[in-house]
Amino acid sequence: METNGPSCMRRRLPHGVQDLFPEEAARRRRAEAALRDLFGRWAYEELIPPTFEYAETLAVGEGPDLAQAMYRFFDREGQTLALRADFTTQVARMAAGKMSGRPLPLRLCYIGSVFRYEEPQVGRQREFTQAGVELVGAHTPAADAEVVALAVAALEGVGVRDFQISLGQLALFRALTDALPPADLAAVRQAIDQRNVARLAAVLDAAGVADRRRALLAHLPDLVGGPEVLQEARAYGGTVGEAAKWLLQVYRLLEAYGAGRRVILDLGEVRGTDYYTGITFRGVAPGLGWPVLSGGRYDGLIGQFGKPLAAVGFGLGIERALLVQERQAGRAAAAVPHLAVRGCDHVTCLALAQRLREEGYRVEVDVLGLDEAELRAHAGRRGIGHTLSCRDGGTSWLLSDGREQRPVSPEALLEEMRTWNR
Amino acid sequence: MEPLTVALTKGRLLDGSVGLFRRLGYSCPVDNGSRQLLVDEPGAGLRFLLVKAGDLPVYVEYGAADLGIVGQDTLQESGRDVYEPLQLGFGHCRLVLAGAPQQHQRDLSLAGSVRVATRYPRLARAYFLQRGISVELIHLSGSIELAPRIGLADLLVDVVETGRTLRENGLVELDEIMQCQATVIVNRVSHHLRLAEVRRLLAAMQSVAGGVP
Repeated sequence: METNGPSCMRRRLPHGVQDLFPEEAARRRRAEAALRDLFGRWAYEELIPPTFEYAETLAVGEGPDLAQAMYRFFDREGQTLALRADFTTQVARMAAGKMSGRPLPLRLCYIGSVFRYEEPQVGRQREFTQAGVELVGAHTPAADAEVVALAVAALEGVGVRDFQISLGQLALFRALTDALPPADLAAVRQAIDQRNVARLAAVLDAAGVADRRRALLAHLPDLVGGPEVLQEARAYGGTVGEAAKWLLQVYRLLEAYGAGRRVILDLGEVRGTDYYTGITFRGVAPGLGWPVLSGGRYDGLIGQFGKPLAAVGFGLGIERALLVQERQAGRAAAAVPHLAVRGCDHVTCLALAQRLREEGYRVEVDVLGLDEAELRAHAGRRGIGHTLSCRDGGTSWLLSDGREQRPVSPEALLEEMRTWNR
Repeated sequence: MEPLTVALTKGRLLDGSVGLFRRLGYSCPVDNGSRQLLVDEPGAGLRFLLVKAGDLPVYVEYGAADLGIVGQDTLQESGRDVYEPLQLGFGHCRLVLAGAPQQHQRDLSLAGSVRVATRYPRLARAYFLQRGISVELIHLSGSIELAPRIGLADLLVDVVETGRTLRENGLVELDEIMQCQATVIVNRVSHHLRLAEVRRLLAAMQSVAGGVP
């Protein structure tokens, strides 16, 4: 392999994208298949939106950070297009458009690449894969709980064992800060988000927030834990109390789903893409500084596409989930072929290989013209346990496991392969 | 259970940080001469990690350390996404704009080209941007005071404790950009996954630090 010169330059990749070689590709596809199957069992239907569309459309509802991180380019008419940086906006557009005649709620899911022009982080390149769901047309704690419970099932489904869902309620923070001018609101939000209690006290004073409102806002960074952290907010009453009561209902339902032990309530969770209006949540796992999954309720977004519909959903970063899964459980063995068959031109031999494949076995037929010994050596290098070669013009076969060779009939071979590890 | 990993920085803040942990009853066997960069605190479910100040927020953001003690100046310059729940009341310093005394009279917004030497390019850029002043930043990693003296830069942005170094180099403070002190930062994920331990440690640190909560 050339390590310098023009062909080496041709093999370069831009910063932030990567090739997936067979083992990695197989792990990724297995995770995607597990999630697609899981979402299907919860009655979510898959959408496949386009990879790029008008930049203006994709920016709807997004905060400035994500809008800035979009890859933009021009088409020949000079229109600005962008690669999607997120699926939710696309799903919202589709839900408000051609799907709007369908009975509600809509249960929708997606799996695919998203693109963000930002510095690659652990488990997140500039192109990465998201899988997620959106439950559209239901403004209820039951809908929120279903989506959070599905998020828990999704992390378990890709083999992540040790994780937590941190669950907040943006509606509560919004209700507490509805009277603040934008600059003060941003300062209060940032101080809570950074759990900077000293700065929070200072900015609340500077903004002239007083009394019970000040007391509750000042406590938000510390209100992390079980349902007891909701007491103060429930006692507050009004919209704030309603928001806390909603969150408690979601929590109780999650307990009923058996997901209660995975959930930690966090009223200091005030971050969120600009479109979130209710609960927000993120999935976190030990040893990874960033969330594996995040989601929430966004009741205003779909309305921006012409049909006001409440919605809640989450997106999971598949590469990150796999990274955590590997750290916690180790890597599963790669799927090597069950059998290598020596190449020949007999109809019976190729038919036998085809039959084994139809039975679901991974079968490799040699195409290089290797002799018996070469085929064995090749199988050894590939980790393939068994080789098969024919005798008497394709009327009888010899099976070898590398130690001994013995005659085998097609029926006996099938019978024996059933005992091999699939 | 993995021990809770606490990152500390060599240099200015180390004595204060170690003193804090010793007042809490930990042996915290590290000092500025330590060769050992990762030290277990026996029987306490804690270990200490010694890193360069500028790297500390990275360790904490990535979760390689669960928490750390770092100056506000370094934290803000890093722009890393971490919780910062506690100021410790030691390691006070100020980030200032300084230059030769005659720079006092100069209106920077009218100046054609201003060169500013700094170890804090991000904070310096934000400061000048906010004031609509366009400058040329020169990113240095130490001995910033030299830059104006030998004509590498007109001004500097750096931290001062007493101001002595500035005076010795014939420079004066022109503006204060921010006040800094030692701050505890916590990884966003560790904070939740190890809530009870983190809370206990933060409360203990607060009780002996005597700083503002």
